[in-house]
Amino acid sequence: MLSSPEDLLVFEYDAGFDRNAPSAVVVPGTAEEVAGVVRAARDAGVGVVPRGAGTGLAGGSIACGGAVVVSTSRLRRILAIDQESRAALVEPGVVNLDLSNAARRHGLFFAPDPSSQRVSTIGGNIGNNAGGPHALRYGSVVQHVLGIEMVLADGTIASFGGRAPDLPGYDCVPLIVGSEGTLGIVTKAWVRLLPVPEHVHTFLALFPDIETGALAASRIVAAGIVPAAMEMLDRTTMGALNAAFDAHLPEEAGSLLLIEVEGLTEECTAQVARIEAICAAAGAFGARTAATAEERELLWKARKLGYAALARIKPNNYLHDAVVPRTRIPEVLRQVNAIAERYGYVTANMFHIGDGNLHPILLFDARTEPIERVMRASAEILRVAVDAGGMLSGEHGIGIEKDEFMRWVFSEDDLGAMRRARDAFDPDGRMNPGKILPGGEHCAAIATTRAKRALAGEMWV
Amino acid sequence: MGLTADVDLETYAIDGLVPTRHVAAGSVDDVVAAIREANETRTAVVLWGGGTRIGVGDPPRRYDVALDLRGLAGIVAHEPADLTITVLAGTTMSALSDVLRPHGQRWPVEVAHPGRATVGGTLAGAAGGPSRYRYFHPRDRTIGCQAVLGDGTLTRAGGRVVKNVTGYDLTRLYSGSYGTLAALVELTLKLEPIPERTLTLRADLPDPSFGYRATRELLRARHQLDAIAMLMGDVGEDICPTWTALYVRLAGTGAVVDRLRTAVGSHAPFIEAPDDVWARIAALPADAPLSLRAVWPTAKALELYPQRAVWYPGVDVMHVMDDEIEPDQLRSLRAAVEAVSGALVVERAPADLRRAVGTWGTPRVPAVISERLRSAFDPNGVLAPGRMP
Repeated sequence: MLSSPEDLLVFEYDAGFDRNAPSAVVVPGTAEEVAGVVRAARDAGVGVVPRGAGTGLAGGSIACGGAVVVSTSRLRRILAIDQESRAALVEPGVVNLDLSNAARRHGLFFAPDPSSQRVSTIGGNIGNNAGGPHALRYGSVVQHVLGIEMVLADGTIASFGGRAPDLPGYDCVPLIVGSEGTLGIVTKAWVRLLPVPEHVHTFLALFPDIETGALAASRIVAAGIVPAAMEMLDRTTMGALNAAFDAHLPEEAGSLLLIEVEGLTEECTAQVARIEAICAAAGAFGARTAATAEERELLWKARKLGYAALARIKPNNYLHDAVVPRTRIPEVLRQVNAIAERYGYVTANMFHIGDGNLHPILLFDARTEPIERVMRASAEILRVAVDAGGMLSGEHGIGIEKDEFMRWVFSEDDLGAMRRARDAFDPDGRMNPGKILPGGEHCAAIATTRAKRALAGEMWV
Repeated sequence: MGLTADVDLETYAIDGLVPTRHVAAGSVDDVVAAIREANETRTAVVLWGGGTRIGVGDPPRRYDVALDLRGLAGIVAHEPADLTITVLAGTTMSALSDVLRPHGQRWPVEVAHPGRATVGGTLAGAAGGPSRYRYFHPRDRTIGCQAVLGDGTLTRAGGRVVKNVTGYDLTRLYSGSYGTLAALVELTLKLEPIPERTLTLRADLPDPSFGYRATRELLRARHQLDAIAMLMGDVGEDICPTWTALYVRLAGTGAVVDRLRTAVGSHAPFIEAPDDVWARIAALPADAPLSLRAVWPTAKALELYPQRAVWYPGVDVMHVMDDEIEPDQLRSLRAAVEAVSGALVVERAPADLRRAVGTWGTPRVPAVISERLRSAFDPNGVLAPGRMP
């Protein structure tokens, strides 16, 4: 257990902007120890907040109201890999990429691949229903979790589902996935593994501007082609990558689509031909194919380092996660960029265009530019996405970042139904209190939370 | 809302229980009104779609009203360019296919009797079939819903976007809840393109042990199969002439199918078979008088010795359709299956056998959570009370 101010400092934030120190941090090594912590917290009347690697962007692992953080960093064993049923049993602290690498020795892999996969944990991936570029073809974490062992709010250890789907009883597994630790603390999970595809073809297509790139992406989906991944990078991002890592991306390109198709060789060849034709018709002027595995790694490295490269432009950034119907992407991007321009922020766009999951990034300097103004621009961006039939988050979660905005997409009755489900697990509100549903008071004292609450109320007419 | 003097209530009987009333809902408002009324009168409602899985579950403790949702049918919004569609829950699976086919699209979920099975019932009853191998659970292809809770509250969950973590995923909680938490009235589905070519192959084998071996080889070789099933016993001379038939389906471009045809041919003596055989395979467990769904690890499949079965390897499901089974036999089989973390669900059986052994076996969710979910979503116990554990 950690409780000195210096130790607690690193647990007061995640990768987002909200911060608050926990009252203590515990690092249990078994499910029984997790249960002991939950019981002790219950007896002391404080909340419990699970935490994996702290890479979340929505404040889901920020402890509010004197809550205790339970770190899963010692729960990191891969307990079983079943080659024929294509499933693995893992503890929550296992790092995403470590699981995939272990599974690859059996010709299998764990499909969800968030950009944080080198450090983020399966437990955190489950809590946020993480996605990643390849969610386009394989779906998010919810499609890949079969069973869960979890410590409930009363300190008991319970199991939900198992190695196979459709075991008797209510299927709580998809409810637990994405619940950000508000239903309990996951201590083991059966996850699905998929066969490693025989062939992977990775290429990028360059476009004069964002519009034409977005148009090509929409047309690819509309043609019934579902690549394994389809990512867009805009001019700002490419410039930052060139400056930071010598990525040699052409300066004249206004947008870039990074497209990957996977499967059987013949299938990939046919898909690539169709995709290239669509890109060319939409105005693509250049294409580059990864000829080797190393080149493929390089292309993806550029994508996954994009976020780091942006720090050269401005030290801080605000990353969004709204998701919109794919047919609406071009117009939504246009409006998003107009908002940023009006506020005078440089924006970068680097996102999962194939499934409509936007990540506009507002670049700013927190030393000189007030975060409240960034948050106001962000709320306007969310509003545009919601008006286009979109939702608040595709893969990062709601946490305390977007809880007040939940009223923009759900009625009181809708939220009431969610509250019923949450309360069935945690009637006293001890598990990660103050997250996801609006109106929670636990985190209300955080300044950024107060500002967002005001914006959410004011801008929704 | 159609109320009904002329409907034979016997057609809505479940395990010998006959409702006293039948309501045909034609709109979402009708469903809300019917469920609110049931709350006022403290009567119990069983939701009906096509009835293909209505017998799955323990017999309801009370059964007053059959609420038929088949009239709640039709397309709300189809976005072909976005590969999504929103439909009313009573739309049949065939009607859905008919709308999607001209666009080269489909909802990749195969169930028994698609002409009768509804989209809502498919999700609520977690219906399985050959498509599970490649496309997994119907809930994995469902992205949002509108549902009437047990107290009559009309709610939405999820959305119309294909990737979403905005709030608790209630759509998927309702999946497999067999109409005991909420009435699904509208669903938004994620679609797939129809493959360019499909080829079904059958290998007639001397006995199940050959089938097990070939299946394990096929799975370990990680060929990209679209579906795989093994039939055992007397399930139809034309589809299973030697009492063990291994079926695989290949799908993709022409070149892919040609290559896979050669590759799988090295594991068993495959011959071509008609594609419509899959609909018959899916229907076998739904039509058998006795039908047990065993969730059972693929690697241990050899340890079950059914007289008659449909086995879906890779997804760990075997539908056992023996002529008869004694309650004690069933209990010991269930104990053996549960000992390896499996389950044995009595999907179809004579009422006395089901009463003796129960439908479900050991639930894989703590009883306290089930009870709290039920009382939260259906506080007055009007939705098929007793059907789910």
